[in-house]
Amino acid sequence: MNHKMTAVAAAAVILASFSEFSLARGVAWFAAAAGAVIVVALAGTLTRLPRLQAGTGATLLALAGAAPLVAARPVAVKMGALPLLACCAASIRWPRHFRVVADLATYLSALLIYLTVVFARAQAFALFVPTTGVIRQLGALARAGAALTAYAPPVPGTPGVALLAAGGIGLAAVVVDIIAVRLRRPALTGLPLLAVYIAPIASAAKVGGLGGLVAFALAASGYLALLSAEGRDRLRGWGALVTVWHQVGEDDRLGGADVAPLAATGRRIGLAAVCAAALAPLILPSLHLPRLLNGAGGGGIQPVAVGLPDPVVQLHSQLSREKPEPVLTYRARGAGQDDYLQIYVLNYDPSRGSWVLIRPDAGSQVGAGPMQPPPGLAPGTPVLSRTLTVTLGPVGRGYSWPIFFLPVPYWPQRLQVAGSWREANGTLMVYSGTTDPAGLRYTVTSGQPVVTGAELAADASLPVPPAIARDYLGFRSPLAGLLRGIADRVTRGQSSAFGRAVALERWFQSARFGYSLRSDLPDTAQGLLTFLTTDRRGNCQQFAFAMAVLARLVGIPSRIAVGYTGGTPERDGTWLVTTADAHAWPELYFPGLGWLRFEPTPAGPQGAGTATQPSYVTSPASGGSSPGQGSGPGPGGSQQPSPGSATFIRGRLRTAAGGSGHVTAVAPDHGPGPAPAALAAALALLAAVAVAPGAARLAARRLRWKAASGNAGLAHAAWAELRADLEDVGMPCRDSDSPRAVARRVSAAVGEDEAARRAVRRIAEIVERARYAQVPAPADGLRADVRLVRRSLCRAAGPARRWRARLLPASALNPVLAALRGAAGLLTGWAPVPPAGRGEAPGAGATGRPAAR
Amino acid sequence: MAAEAGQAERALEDLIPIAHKISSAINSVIVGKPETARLALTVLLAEGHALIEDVPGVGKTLLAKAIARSIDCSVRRVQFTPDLLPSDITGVSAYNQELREFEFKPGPIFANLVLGDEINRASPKTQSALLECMEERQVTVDGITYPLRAPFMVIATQNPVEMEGTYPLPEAQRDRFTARLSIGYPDPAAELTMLDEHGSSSPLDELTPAAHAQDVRALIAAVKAVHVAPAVRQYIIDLVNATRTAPSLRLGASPRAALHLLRACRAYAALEDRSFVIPDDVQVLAGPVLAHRLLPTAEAVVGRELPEQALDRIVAQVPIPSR
Repeated sequence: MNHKMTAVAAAAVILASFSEFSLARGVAWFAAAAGAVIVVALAGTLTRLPRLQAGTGATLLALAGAAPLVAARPVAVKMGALPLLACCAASIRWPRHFRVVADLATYLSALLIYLTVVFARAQAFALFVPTTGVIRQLGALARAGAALTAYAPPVPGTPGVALLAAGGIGLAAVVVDIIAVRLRRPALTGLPLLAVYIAPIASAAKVGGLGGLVAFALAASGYLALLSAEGRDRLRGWGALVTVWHQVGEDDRLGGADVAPLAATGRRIGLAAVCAAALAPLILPSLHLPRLLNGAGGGGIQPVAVGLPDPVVQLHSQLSREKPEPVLTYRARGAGQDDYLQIYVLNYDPSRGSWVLIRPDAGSQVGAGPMQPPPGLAPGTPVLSRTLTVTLGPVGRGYSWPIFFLPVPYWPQRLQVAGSWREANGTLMVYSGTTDPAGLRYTVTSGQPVVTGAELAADASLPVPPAIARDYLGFRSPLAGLLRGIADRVTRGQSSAFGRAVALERWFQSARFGYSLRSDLPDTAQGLLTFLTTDRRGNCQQFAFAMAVLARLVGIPSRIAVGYTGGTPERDGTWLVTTADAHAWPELYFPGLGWLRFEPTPAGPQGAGTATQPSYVTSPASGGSSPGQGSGPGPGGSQQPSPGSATFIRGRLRTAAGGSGHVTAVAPDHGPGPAPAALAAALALLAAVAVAPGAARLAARRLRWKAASGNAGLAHAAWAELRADLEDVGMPCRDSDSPRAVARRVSAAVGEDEAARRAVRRIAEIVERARYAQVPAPADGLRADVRLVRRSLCRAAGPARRWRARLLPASALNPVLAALRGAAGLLTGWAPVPPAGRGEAPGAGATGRPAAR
Repeated sequence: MAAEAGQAERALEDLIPIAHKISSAINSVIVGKPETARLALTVLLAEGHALIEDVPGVGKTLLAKAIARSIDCSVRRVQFTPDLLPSDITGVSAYNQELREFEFKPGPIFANLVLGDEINRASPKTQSALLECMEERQVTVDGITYPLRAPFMVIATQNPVEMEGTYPLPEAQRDRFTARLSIGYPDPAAELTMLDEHGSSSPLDELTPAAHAQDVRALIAAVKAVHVAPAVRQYIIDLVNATRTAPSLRLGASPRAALHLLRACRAYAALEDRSFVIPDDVQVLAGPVLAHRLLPTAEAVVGRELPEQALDRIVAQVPIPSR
């Protein structure tokens, strides 16, 4: 019987399961899982009772646990339960032969009964005996929970998720209990514990950060505690240690050796290992676990490669169809225009060097109420609303995927749709993993900002929010310099961010670029450069990516949207969107207005058919008609813009584009991207950490002299300073060293420097009088003396010691280290030993005791 | 307080040259052992008694004689032998037939300086008679008490206890000696000088007294004015306490030891021309004053650790008072 091992094994599983907090929200699942682990531990204890109790318990539990089998209709299944029960009963008489089956039955039945009680009480017989109804209920819950795995974690902590967590972690606990307690091989429990711990890493959950660190430390501590408990047990059993000083306690009563010192050593090593493992990634910034495992990562918004579609591939598969096929139809109502239907939002992933889908987070549930506000839009900005009633065609032609992203105009204000849909934070993508989108009909109201002149002026003073700058401004490439040169040339003379954006779009729309569906330029910086300088032919993907990159290089945050253009109008007033309307376009961020769409791709019969330039770019000031103007859909509602609204914003923005400076460059133009900023911050932090001890020493010196007053005070300060200086140069004083003894040591250390010798003698004498005489001696010039001695000591100590004394002064570090040691001692229960330097000073043998004179 | 301190300092300043003269007189006899001479003088000024312990022939008796000679005061020498009786030291009441009454014949103890040679050769009974006089500074014979003269100092010599024909001094008696000195072999150069200078005649013959008894009395009085800061007193207590809790010591230092140490420190500081005691004084004197009172544990004996080594460790560990 080993209750301690059982308890420690259960604790280890619970600690390891802390890491799952990044997978599911709430604590309900955790409570359920912890309960499962405890039930498993109790079941394990039951299996280790004497055979009569264990066998009886196994039989009773199996009887309850196998009830659904007995109740099942097929006779074969019914018969299957009988051998199980027979084995359990037989284990009472012949434990050696039937123990394995009985034990397994005990564990699994206990777990099943626990899950029944927690999740399917209503269907159970007498609240705890599982029935077929219970199995069905558990199955349904598990399916509901599993369906949530299609979403980006953390998923809501629904009962289904809780069931999956309790079941999975409970099974892991069974394995851990068997391995650690029954088989006494706790080292092997690392595997099941790792399985529990690693689940979030293997998924798309956002791991790392402080939470990850804590989860790791907890899991590792649990595992180490398990190892330690078993090792201590085993050693005690062997009695391998011979100790002189026994402590009356458990160890003596058990008759084994006292392994406390050894256990303390183990704890110390364990603590050091956990600390090292937790801190190592900080020192090795390149070792980023998600990047190692799935190649994604970087930036604050983490793109995901698991379980999510590749928008670029889907875009190409639609554009390359020989015959366009209808995807959806819609009917529009209200003011506004430019109804591009946005589906995916892409961000640049520096680690991959390409644009990838931003992983949608769980966001918010789409309900009857208003949806999320668009990021960046200043509150109080007037908004133009427009309502589209969309009917989806057969899914499979368009952007179809198990997680379906709904085509909606940016940004959706209100959405009426059947099924369960979620709206991602930040990108406002609307998606569902459960709703069948084929033939779906929904109504979406979308908004466009209308700003007044005063607001625009205010906008000009708004900086780009740091979160946006961090996520949407970075572009790393060896070719960035060349690309920036191009971007600068194109936007020369534009003082405002909006002006630069318009300049970029016009440049792409100019005759030097052409449209080609068959462009196969790679989605890399080199491909981009080829496209911009030599090839100059591409489809919407190349144009969108190129403009987004160039915008970032001139300091405008950018992202890529993928979806459909507005399509073509039908006779009955509806609009038809086909696969040929699949499109990609850049969205640029302007503070106070949020994300605005731009259209660099040439439109028209020779271009991307139904693409339209946004109204705020097409203006008489920019050279009359643009290629897309007139060919666009110009949806009905937009033909009667509410006076002073859409026209107004166009006017305002046009002015801005003309360079009047209302929308000025507020982005950090050409400034360092997020990575250099982080690097600079890290360097600054490192530098601060590096100079901190030296600065602390200087500050302590200054304070000490400042606080000293009177002859005695000055003498005491001088002595404290001298001692600190000696500690800094590696000659720490013992507490039993008198001023004279110290002066002798210093005199020996400074060699031939007679001035320093005289100074230190004077200091010792003054200190002595201040401390022990009735009248202290005058303390004039003491500070100069201390300085003289310090310089002389530093000279004598050699360059290495000298620099160490300046940068890492021991007198500043030792109190911190001592405090850390004390804290570590509290944690591990081992008393800190005083630093060796204080007990046995260098050269103590020669100078420790003064000789009689 | 400052005025008092100044007065004490002035008194010391006047008297210290005398102490130095005595010191140099002793040094002219015992070549190359100034620290021993200084310790002996310290004991004299601390109103204590010195126990000189060393192997035969290193100059124990010579040192004692040199101290005695360098002060112009009464000196008596007692050679302790196993058959020596207590009355041989204290004196006897003898019947004077002329006066028809008992008359007290003072023993050798009635002197300023008493040199007890090879004290551990006498029987314990005789030893204890001497030691009573040392502590009480008076002699009681036949119910009449006779006070001893000041200054009074016993300088006893003894051979190491392992030697044959010795009665080791009990702890209680050792405790009465303020300090135990050992002379040790001189270094070769000093030994050569000794052969050159003292080869033909005894150095004691040329020694002239450097001070009178009343000078010594004045010095003893002046030494009592030496300032001992509370921190230093605390340090002495800390050290003494540490000997009582040291794992390698069976018997630590007594409160009397603490008192002796304090007095000795005062004298030592005065000899250093200082009007206040510093921890260095305590550290220097801890060995001579405390070591002979300590008893090692059986483990320390087996481990061949002397009480002096334990004391060294204690001195190295007990923090000195900072203010």
